[in-house]
Amino acid sequence: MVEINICDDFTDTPGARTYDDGEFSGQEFYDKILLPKYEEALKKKVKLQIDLDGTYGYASSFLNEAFSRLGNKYKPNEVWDNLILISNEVPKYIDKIKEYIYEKRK
Amino acid sequence: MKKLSPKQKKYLLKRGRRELRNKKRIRKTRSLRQSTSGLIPQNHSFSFLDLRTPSKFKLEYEYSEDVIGYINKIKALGRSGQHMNIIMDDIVEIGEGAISMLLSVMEELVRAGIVFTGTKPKDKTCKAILEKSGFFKFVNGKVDESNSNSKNTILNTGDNNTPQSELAFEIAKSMETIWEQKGRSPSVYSCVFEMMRNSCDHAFKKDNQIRWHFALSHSDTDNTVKFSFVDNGKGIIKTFTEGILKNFVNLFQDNVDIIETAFKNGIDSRTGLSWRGKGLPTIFDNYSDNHIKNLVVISNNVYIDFDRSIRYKLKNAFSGTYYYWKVDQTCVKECFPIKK
Repeated sequence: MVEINICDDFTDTPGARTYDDGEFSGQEFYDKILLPKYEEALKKKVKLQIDLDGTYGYASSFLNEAFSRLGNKYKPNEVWDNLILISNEVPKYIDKIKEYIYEKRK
Repeated sequence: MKKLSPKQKKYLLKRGRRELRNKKRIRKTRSLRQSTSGLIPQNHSFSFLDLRTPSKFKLEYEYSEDVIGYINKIKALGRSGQHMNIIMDDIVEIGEGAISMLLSVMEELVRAGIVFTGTKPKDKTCKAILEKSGFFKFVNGKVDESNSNSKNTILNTGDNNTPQSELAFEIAKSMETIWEQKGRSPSVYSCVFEMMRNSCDHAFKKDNQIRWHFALSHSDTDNTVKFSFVDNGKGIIKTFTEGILKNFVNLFQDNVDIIETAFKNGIDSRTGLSWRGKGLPTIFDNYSDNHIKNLVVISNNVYIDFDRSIRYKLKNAFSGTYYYWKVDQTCVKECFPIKK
C-alpha cells in the first residue's frame, strides 16, 4: 500500500483552491503529492491510503480541487475503488471527497 | 499696599494679557486632535463632521437598522471626501461585530485619504470592550493599561492570499478559552476559511480592493469566544444576481430566499446549475452540527439570525457581508491535540 499523511507529508494548514490563492493549495497538493502517489499505487497495483487527520482543517475548495482533478484524470469509479480514506476527526470529509471525485470539471 | 503708577499698571496689564495668550497657545497645542493616522497638524484645514454613534452599537436584529444606517452614512460621507469626528460618548451597549464593521469601513476610507477623529464611550464597560477588541491596532488611540493585555484580536488582510498559519494559531488559542486547552478545531477553521475565500474570490472586482476583518473576542468567565467576519465587498446577493443567478432570479421568492438557499441547500440544488462553490453550505453544515452557534449573516438587504429564526429584509442595505457566531461549551467539543 502507498500512503499519504497530509499533515506529515504536505502541511498542517491546508490552503484554498489554486496556486493563486496562496500556499498549500489543493492544486499544489494534487500536483506534488496526490497525483504522483496515486500513479505510484497504480504502478504497484496497490491501494493509496490517505490520512486526513492531524491538520487544522480543510476548506471545501482544497478538497474539491485536488480530488475532482484526480477523478477527472482517471475514471471516478476506478479512483474511488483505489483509495482508502482515513478521517477519524471529521468523518464527513470522506463523503465530500467522494462527491468531488465524481464531479465533472468544466 | 503700595499704589501702582500708571506705567506699572500698563506693564502688568500687558504682562497679564501676554500670559493669557501663552496659556491659550499651550492649551491649543494640548488639544491637538488624535486622528486615525496620527496627530493632525495645528494649521490643518480639514473640516470634520460630527457623527454620533448609536447608543446601542451592536448588530443584533433589534439594533441592526440603526447601526447599518450609521455605517452607510460614514461610507457615503467618506466617499464624498468628508472627514469625520466619530462621537462614541453615548454608547451604552457595544458589540465586537459592530466594532469590526466600523473598522472595516474606516480602514477603507482612511486608505482613500479620509481623516477620522473621535471620542471613546463614557460607559466604562463599553470603553473596555472597544479597547480590548483590537480596534486600536488599526486606529491611533490610547488604550488603558488594564485593557491593553487582551487575548482578543482582529486579523485582516489586503490581498488574495489566506494567512493559514495566523488563522490556525488564533483558532487554537480560542479553543483554550473554550475547552481550557489549546487545540485544533477543523470546523471553525473551515468556516473562517470559507468566508475568507468568498471575500477574496467573489466580493471585490479587483484584487487590490480585497480587504476583510476577522475578529475574535474571548470571554474566560463563561468559556466563550465570539467570532465575527466582515468585508465591504459586493455582498452575497449581488455576487449571485450579477453572476450565476442572472437569469434565474425568478426561481427565488426574494433575496432572503436566495441567501437561505445558498446556505442550506446550495444554489445548485434549486437551479440545477453547476456551482463549484461549497463555502456557504459548509458553514451551515458546521452550524447544523452544533460546532458553532448563534450564526448571524448580514449581506446586502438581508439579515438572517439562524438561531432565532429571524429572516428580515433590511431597509438599510449593507454593501458587504458580515458573519457572526459563537463557540462555547454547549457546542460539540472539537479540540484535537496539535500535532506539530
